[in-house]
Amino acid sequence: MKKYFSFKNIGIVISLLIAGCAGVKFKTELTRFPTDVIMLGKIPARNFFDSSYFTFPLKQLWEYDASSGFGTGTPIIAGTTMFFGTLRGEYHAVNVESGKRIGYFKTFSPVQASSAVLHNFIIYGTEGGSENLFAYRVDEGEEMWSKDVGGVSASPLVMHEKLIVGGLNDTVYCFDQYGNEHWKFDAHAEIRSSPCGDEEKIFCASTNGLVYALSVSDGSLLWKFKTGSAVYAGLTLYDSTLIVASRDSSVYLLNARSGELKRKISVGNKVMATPSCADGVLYIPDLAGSVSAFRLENGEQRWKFSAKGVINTTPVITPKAVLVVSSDKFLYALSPNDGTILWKLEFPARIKTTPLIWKGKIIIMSEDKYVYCFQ
Amino acid sequence: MILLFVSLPLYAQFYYFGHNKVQYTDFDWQILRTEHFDVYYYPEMKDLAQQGAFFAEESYKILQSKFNHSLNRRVPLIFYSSHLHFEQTNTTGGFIPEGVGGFFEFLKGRVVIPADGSLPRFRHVIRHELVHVFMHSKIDRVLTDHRLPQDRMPPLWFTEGLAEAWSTESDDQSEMLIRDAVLNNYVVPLQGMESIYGTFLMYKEGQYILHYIEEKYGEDRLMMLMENFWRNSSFSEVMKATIGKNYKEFDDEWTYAFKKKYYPVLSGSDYTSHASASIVKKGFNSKPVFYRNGNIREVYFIGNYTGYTSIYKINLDGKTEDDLEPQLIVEGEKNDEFEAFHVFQSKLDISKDGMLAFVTKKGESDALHLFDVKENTLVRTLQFNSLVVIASPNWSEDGKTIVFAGTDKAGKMDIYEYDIPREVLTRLTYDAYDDRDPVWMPGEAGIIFSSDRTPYGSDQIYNLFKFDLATHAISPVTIGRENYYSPSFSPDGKHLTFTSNEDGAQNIWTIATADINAGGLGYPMKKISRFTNAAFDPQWTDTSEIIFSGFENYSFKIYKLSDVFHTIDTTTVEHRFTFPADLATWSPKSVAGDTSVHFVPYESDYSLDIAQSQVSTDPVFGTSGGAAMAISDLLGNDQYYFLLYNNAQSSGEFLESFNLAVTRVSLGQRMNYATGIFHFSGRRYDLTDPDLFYYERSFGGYFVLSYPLSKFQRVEAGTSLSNSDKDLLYGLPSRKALVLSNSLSFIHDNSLWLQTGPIDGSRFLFTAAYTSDVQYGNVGYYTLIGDYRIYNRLATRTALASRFTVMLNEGKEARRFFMGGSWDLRGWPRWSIRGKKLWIMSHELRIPFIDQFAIRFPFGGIGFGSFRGALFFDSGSAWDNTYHSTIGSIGGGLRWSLFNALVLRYDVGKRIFNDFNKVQDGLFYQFFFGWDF
Repeated sequence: MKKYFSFKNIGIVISLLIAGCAGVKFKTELTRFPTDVIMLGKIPARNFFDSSYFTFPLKQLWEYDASSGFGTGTPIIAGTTMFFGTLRGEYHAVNVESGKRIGYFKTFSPVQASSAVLHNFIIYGTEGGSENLFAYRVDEGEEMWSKDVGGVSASPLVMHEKLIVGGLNDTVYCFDQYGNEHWKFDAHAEIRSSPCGDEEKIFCASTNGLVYALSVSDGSLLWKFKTGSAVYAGLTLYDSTLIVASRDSSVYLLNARSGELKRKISVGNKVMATPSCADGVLYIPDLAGSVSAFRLENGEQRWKFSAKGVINTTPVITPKAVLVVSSDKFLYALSPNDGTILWKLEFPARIKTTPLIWKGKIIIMSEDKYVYCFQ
Repeated sequence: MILLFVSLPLYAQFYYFGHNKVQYTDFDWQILRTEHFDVYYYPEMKDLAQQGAFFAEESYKILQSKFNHSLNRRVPLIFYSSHLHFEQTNTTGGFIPEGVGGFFEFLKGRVVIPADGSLPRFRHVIRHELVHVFMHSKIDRVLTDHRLPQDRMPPLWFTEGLAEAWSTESDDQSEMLIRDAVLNNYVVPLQGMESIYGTFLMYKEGQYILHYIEEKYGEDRLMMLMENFWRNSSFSEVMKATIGKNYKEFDDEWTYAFKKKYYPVLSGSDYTSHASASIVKKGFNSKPVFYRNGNIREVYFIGNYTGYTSIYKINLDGKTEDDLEPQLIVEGEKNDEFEAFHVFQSKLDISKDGMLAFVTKKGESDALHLFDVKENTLVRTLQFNSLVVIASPNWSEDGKTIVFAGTDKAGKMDIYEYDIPREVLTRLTYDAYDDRDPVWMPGEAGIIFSSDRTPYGSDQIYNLFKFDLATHAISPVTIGRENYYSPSFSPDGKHLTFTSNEDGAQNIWTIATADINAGGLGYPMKKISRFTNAAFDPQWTDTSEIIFSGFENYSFKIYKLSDVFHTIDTTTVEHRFTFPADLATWSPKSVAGDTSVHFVPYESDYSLDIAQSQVSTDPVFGTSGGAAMAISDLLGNDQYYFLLYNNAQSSGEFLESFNLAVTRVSLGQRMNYATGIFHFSGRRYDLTDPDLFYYERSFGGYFVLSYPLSKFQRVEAGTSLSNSDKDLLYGLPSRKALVLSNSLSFIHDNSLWLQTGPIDGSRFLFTAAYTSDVQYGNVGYYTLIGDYRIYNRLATRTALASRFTVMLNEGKEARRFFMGGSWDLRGWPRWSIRGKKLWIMSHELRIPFIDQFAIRFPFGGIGFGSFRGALFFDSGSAWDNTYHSTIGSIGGGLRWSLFNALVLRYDVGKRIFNDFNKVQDGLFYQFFFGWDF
């Protein structure tokens, strides 16, 4: 009879259990490629356009069990490694080609937002904890520095080799890779909206409804604008237009240089997710489960698509399809021309995280605690 | 349940009391499927169901945006067209009080809602309950996403406050209550909310606090309180993380803000008790009506001083203590005739010749009672097949006709006229609007009533209207975004008085009857009272006085305003109505005609209610393992119970040691029944005979019927047939029997309970049964049980309770009864006194002891609820063939109610022996649990 219950085997099991509880840190080279997704939206303007072409139906490549719910932040990718945190308070590194786990460690507080890559550091924020902004040096496998910014709910922005992060302590910070604070700005309310930027300015908004343009060099206030309610949706920059979606059910198109209101689009429903914009068309998701396409130049509505659940994620624009996920569990590929459904795929659970497109692959995080990759 | 099955041959000994939830109505359930909901309704209320379905879908869209959350399952909505139908629901086992407007039952995710004649209020309740559905789903999701156990919800003040805040704007009642609480200093801070747990005050405080947070901190903060729920198990700390202030810090802020808002009200108005004379000062009182009985001026009203709501009268000009003490006229809620009063819904009226008209629930529907106050007798009771609810009767001047509001089976509340001599019921209005409080105009040319038929009615705004009896035309008497209720005419017919919240608080106003008769495009109304609180149901006496019920300091009392004619002549506060030439109204919305909805017949869809398994080890019976499971259909009408366990002590016994029982309980009709089959085998210990161990294998089936005669009385009958094969283990022969047991019981119970047991009313049970072995003749005995318990109220919370019980089993293999212990013969070891014949008599004085016991620590507090005391005397005896002696006990004890779910009992006393000739030397001390008898 085969002997299963040896002290050696029991010891191994106990060791594995203890190791599992403590988390396993990963250690890998952080290779960098032009295709890397180093922050939410890939570029500081965060207009969520990707030039990938898809042929539907898509084919599933892999799925990854993260054993936790996900926040609003999409994964980031450096080389072939995908990084993301979970609401359970874990940080995962996954091979984006194979879906195999490289490693994970505990963050001890939920990770709501996307991370960012700054030099050789992965920067991630947690919602709670006495320190809540962390720089993790991948090649050393160690945390290098940490800060208290009151908690992080908005995805940080990387510009000019600096990290811009809005904290739940009502402050916008600028750090370098070593954690040195270059400037900070008091926004007088929580920052839950992910900032965006251009060469000279960064734009941020707070839950008191104010939108700020700050100098990227010293954080000085260039202009501010008051919307009708709290701003949770991230900001988008398209050409010289700053796009701000407020919980007052309106989207404000501002002159990015002056802060003047160009146009106010009434959506009719609250908007919690970042609108996306490409080719002069603005795509606005709302909590009634609709995505509306408007012409930026005149505010004319081109089409409106209605899902059967809340849409609190950003429509991702590709040349042939607008990809939309919803709490109705579906991924929709919509025609950019008229909003008709080109293809759709049902998932086991709600989807509350914006899809990530990387090198022709779509990565979807679902409420069933799995990450899915399609091509 | 195991006990029930094991004791099947003893069914005749298994009895209980309790009120009955009577299924008077045979509902033909149907389902209406919309995008997100399955609406359960019956054909009579199809229109209402379609309107409710529209409200539900409308609410869904609003709430998914507010919650930033979509539901991932269909929601069952079970609608009833009236509260009386709702009270028959089997979706909850408990009784539904009149104040419950609906509920969300999270186990099956059901929402159960009655209509009350008002479509806007129906919409309000639907949205209120759907807030609960969304919140439950949202919180569950937040905790699941964070991998936290889904074992907690936000505190009740938040869940109910949010349900109100997101389903309605502030309304009259809310405003009245909060203003009163602030001005009378009984606002309860968040830190002390447990002291008003589950009360209307808690709901409304929660609503106002959350409105305040929305206004002060932003509308998104309420959503964030739920998004942040994972952050801490203390909701105070969740608030700290969301608005920057914990309970203590926030209490300082919002209570101060509320004072700033309401204290200025006192500059222009007064407490009701300061500006009028209080004529009934205790208890809960409402719906006064005046009557001159010879030289005595009397006020009749609905009052509650004992827990039972009844009709009382008081001498309006009384001077002595006796005069000012309300006299009971019609005692309610103790018998089938006056099962329940609708204290907020239905006024009283009295004719010139002293015929008091009032409404109570009686069986399936409401009844209109005519009570001669001079003869003090009930003259007539009227029920109408077409009407479920009746409210606010009003006599014509000649006393031959009554108008009232009524709700039909479709849920429409309209105005009806009943000609008493001709016995003809006429429906005067027939539409979707909520029409109530009708009164005859002087000369009987028309009827004034309150209705939500203005364009503002969809926001639950009521105005007064005139129904012309000649033309049946309906024209507005008032118009505005305020509420106008309770019209009544002065004795000379020149003034129409009513309540209105035109300038904030609900006060008494008047319009000249001549202005109403003249019509035209406008006229003024004059303000009679300037109360800070609220006045209800003003009624004139025979002079220049108005009596009314007023809400002040969290209680309703009866007040009197004098010199009213003078006030009308001199008041400077006026409001002028301007009527549009063509008054529009609102149209109820519905899913009727929507092609996306589907109608399907109801089919029982069973789902799990409870499932549990366990393995237990007993020193006598060894190890056994098993599982129990209960399932029921969505409406709760059909319930199945399954029991499976195995108590084998060796592998050879495994197959024969399976114990299985299946029971079906059917509650969907008035005649409830239960039927089941069972197979039990194993070693047994006979509780009634301490020396008897045996092995028994029994199998069979049983059938039980229960027919409620009313809420208070029922008849039960049962029969069981079981094959019993006993192997007595220690020195006794084996016994086979095919046992047939038949029983018949009558049960009465109209008791009123406090936290630890009954305080008023009575309970009675009589059971006769015969048990026999129809195959071998080994068993054959009859059973008689009589049990009478009466509770004599000595004061509001003090009663003398008495119990008289006799039990007899006589015949071959007759079982023994047993007693002893905290539940019956106190001081004696539990179940130690046994015999085939038994009697017990108990007397117990039940008294209040400690109402609130709480300890406060610097870091928080803990409350222990209330303690009650008892002084008791028990006596009794049990015997087989020869009576031995009478024994008893005497002593006192404490009862502690834990969350109204469990009562702990501690008794101290002395046992009494030998026909009361000897008393125990020391004292006995007995601790146990259980309700008072």
